Amino acid sequence: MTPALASSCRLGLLGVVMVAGFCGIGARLYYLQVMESEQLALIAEGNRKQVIVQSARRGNIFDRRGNLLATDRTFIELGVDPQVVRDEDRPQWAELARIIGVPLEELEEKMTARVGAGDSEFAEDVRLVRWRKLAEGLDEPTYERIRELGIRGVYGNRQYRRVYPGGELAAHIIGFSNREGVGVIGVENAMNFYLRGEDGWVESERDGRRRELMQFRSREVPARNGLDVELTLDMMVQHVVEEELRRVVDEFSPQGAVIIVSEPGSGRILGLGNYPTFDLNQYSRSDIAHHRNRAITDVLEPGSTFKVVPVAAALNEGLTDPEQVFDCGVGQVEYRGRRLRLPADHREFGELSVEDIVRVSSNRGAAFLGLMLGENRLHGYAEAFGFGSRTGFPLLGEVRGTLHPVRAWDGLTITRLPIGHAVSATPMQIHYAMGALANGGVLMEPRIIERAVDENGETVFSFPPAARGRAVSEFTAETVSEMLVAAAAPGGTAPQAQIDGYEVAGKTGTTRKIIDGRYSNRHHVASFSGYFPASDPRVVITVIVDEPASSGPSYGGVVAAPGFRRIGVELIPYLGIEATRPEQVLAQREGGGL
Amino acid sequence: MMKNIKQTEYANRLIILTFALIFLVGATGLVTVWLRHGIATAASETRAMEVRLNEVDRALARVNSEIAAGLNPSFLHQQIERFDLDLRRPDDEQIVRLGTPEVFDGLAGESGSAIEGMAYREGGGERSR
Repeated sequence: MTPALASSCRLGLLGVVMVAGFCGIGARLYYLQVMESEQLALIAEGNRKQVIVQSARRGNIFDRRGNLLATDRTFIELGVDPQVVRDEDRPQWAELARIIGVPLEELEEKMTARVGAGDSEFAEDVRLVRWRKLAEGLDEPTYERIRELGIRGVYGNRQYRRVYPGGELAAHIIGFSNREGVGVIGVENAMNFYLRGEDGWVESERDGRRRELMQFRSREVPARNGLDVELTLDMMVQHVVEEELRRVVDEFSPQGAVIIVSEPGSGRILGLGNYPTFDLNQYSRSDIAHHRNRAITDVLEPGSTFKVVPVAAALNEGLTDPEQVFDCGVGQVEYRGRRLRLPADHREFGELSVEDIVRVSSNRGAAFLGLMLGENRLHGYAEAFGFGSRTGFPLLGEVRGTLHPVRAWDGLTITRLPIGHAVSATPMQIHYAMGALANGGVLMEPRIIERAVDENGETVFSFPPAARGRAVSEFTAETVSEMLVAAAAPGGTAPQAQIDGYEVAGKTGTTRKIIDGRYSNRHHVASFSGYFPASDPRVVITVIVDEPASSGPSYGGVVAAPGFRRIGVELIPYLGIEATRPEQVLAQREGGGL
Repeated sequence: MMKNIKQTEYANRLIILTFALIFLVGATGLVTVWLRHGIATAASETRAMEVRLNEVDRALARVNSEIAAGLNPSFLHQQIERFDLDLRRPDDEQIVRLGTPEVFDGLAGESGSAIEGMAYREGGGERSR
């Protein structure tokens, strides 16, 4: 073979190899770019593209003076990736254990366990551990201290969590949201739609280290934070209410207790407390029965607090006047051809005027007024005062109580309903019925949410006062108020409710509970519902104590009325309520009291 | 001869145009790279600012919740007892209600004619003469 031929063969061979190489590359390119293109493009896009969800911040809840009651805060869940832990960081482990509050041995075990049991059924199957939780609920400064230790593989994930700075304060009103950010009870539940906001999202690309390449953001929908909610609640009034609840619990060890404070003219609730209660920050550790807002979920026979209904109704209908006298010593009466036994009084009364009936809380006197009214009018006024229907309180769980239609009444109901038996009501209904008298006869709807505001503080919507209807005329309401002042004065059933310098109007209630189908002599519900100053009411206060353990009788005047007074005394300077009888305040001061 | 000159001229023009095109494409590429780098830098800075803003937001939320916890009346009562401050709510005698004639009378009585003059200044007080 001549050199020229050899050279040409080599060139030819080289050419064939090159052509074959190019053909191979071409074939591979054809396979990748044509045959598998769609699938590979999807994989490439999946690796490169990402959708980042931008979580919306849940709105805050404030009281009416702007005090923060509920907010979102970040906490750190600390963990370790044992695969990247270095031995040279070991001296720092003791300090880390001290900061997060776990024993060093436990920490070492977690930091060094690089493999764990797999998910399959084979015992020998193992998996590499890439994350092991070390601690949760750490705050930012603590996490910063941990980061400063520089331990490789130890890092935290931020989590938003709802916090309630007041702890137990207004627990049943504020309610709580669960770990998924859904309101479960209280305002958190009722206003969940407005509080939660709307998550946003960003379509973007990431680099090999999975960091976002912001310049490749293609679509962006910003998150819309939830609205802030302002309540009608006043943190200080709420505190006064809860302090009083603690005092009642210390003194009487009751099964339950409810206190409500509201403004009569607007229906705004300034304070509402229940016992038992719970800590909002640890709701999962509390008894679920304690989550119940007894003010709206529990019913009781209102007892004597209901007597304002037949009295106001009879006056409003012009059937009687405050001076008309009834013989309350009579035990039986004729009514529509039937002999009816009248309910007994707690002591024997003779002749009593309508004023006296209210003052001494005579059962027979109230029954006489009920008989004067007749079934339909008595039932109608009970409805007009809000009994038997929901008050419109916006939080979950309100019940309507029981007010039977007239056709379902038995022969005794006409004499029992006027004394608050044969009817059941929630504390909220009792409170607002009394509030109607304080408000010139107009029954208001309870208000707990004042308004919802956006991030700029602009009101998005508000809840104006709403009247449910007129129960009685303004004149009747004033007349009954005067009677209720006598009831809360010496000679009445609740002189313990009196506040020097102020005209207090109110009514006690003492109800025997029904145990095993019979009225019990040992189980009572003591209540007092009233307002002051009677001539220009600023606050309505209702105190209801369920089964107080008292050595003496558990009358509303003994158990609940003092609570009314103590709350009133606390609220006078705070709300700036002026004395209606300043000379009494002066005399008391000179005498060294108050 | 003329034909050769024309061909050379044409070839030169082609070479120049080719170089110009290469330069233009190169320059465009460089500018594109420079712009993309600028965009990436700006995006990174924006991202860093976003992260910083989020950090500030988080810190603000933490501080706000701590302030709120500190303003809780129960906590304040505990602090009063802890530091033995003996603080009490004001009684009715210490409270002066604004807008009542007694306020002006009291101020005038205590501080003399200067306050009286201020209170009764024409159009300046609630009780102008």
